[in-house]
Amino acid sequence: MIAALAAHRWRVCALVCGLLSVVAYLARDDVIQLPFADDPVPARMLVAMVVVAASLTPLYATFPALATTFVREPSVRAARPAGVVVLAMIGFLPAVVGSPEAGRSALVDTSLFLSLLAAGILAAVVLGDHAWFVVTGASLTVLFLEALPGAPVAAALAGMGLAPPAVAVLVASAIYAARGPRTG
Amino acid sequence: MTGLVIWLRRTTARTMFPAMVAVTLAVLFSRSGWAWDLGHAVSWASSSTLLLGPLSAGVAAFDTWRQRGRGLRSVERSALRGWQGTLTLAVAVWTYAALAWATAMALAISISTFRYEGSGLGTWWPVLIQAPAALLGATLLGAVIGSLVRGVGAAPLAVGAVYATTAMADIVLGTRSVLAVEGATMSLVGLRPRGDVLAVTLALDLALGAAFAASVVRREHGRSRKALVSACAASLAVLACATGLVTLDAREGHLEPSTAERVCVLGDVEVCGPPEGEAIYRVAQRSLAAGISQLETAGLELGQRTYDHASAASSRAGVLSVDTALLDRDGGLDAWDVASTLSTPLLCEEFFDADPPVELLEGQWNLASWMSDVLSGAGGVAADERSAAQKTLSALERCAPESVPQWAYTSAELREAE
Repeated sequence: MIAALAAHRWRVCALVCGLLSVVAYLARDDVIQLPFADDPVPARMLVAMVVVAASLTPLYATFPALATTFVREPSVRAARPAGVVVLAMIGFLPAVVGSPEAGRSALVDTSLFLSLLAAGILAAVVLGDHAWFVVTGASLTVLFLEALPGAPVAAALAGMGLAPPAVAVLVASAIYAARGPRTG
Repeated sequence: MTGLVIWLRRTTARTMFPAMVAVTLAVLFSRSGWAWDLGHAVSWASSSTLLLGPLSAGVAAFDTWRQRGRGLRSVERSALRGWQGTLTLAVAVWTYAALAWATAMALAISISTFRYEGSGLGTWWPVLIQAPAALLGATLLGAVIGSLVRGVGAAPLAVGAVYATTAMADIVLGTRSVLAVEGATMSLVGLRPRGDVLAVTLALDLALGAAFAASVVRREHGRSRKALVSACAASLAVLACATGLVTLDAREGHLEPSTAERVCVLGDVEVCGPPEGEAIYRVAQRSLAAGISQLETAGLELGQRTYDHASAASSRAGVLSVDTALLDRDGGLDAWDVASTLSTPLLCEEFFDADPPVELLEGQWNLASWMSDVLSGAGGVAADERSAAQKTLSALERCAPESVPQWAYTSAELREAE
């Protein structure tokens, strides 16, 4: 059991998400002035990006082609995205819960968090080991655009609400459970 | 060449290319108003290097770790030109990143040239060299990190390292264009890059690239004296360029006013300014002429018929205010821009005083609010308001703060908001 957990980096991932949840709670109302950005961005947004990137690690294939020969792989594979979503929630939610200025900004960041998570899980299915690129690329682009005057992404996310990204996470998880990560 | 073709096929960047293009296009189309002058379009389309640089460094680091196994490295060490191996990989990754940048750039240039007739790349062409050079430097830094850290951490570390290098350069040297190119979010009409700062920044990017390349070769292919000497020489060049930037006072700005002869769009109303803004003046001229005739129908007499772009403003003409993000190709200037242009009939010397006269500024604000109401048909029809507006306008035309009437006009929009 322990070996199986270790093979998919669950222990490290859980530790990192636990630490991030503390950071998320402490920094829930901070804004960060990034170097050479015009406007400060909420720390919560950065937390969402780091949590998603870190929590996706168990989804990467550990035994690429060999995994297809494992008897219990299909059932374990279905549990993997569920575990990832739970860990990601543990990492991110303290940033939203109990925040005095929760409201529009918290909604935007939660929506961003869910969208990134859905994109990351889907990327693991489509791109396999290269999923990190999609998450990092999307996060950097959002940061870049948010730190410029106008904040177009926040407006779009606020308009979208929470339901579509939440459904996207469920759909992406289902696809992962059915197909598994791309190997090779 | 064969090596490059092989790496072009093998590198992860090939899979990531659509994502890279998506990033550049997302950045390009996240703002509007850049298409009005080609300089602005080129500058803004290059700002995605700030994202592409770290990403391509991440890919280079990932590939250096993942694709170059122990076996390949030991074969390369025994080959005559084996030292080119890692560099070829980095060049392949760079090719994809540069192509993604070029896609957005080609799109930006063609939109600006053919749709908006934005004129004058002028002094901005060096950006077209600077961006690929910055990307190359960033990618090679990724290869260095990949050869140092052989593991999962390589890619995120490389992303962070490139971003940190750009940020450090901003803090220490005062330039935001090291391993990236800073993009303009505002119109660049009347501005040009400082040639000396630009040349040294470009040299710094190339020197950094050379230093990284030499370190990769030394790290991957054993103790070669040539690589060591090259790394030292390149590091000296980096130091020299950094010192150059500090000496040139890059922090004070990498732009300077352009000295190009001004052009005018003639008609009932004249709009003049630096040549690169001609497309803007044509649209503005139409809106201003329409605005003036509408105000004259409402009973206001306007003396000023010449307006200069803010970057070329003189004490002979009015000042054109224009926000290119709100400038519509068919609809013309934003209504508030028309009102604020027409309520600045002269660039008074008093505006540059340490303590500009409040009367003039308040009069201008009242007049602009009144004009914008009249232009949109939202109010301002009362006779006393019109005569106060006329008096304010003639005071502004003579730059006479003492003859601005006591008057407070609240625009319909503000009244509604209250």
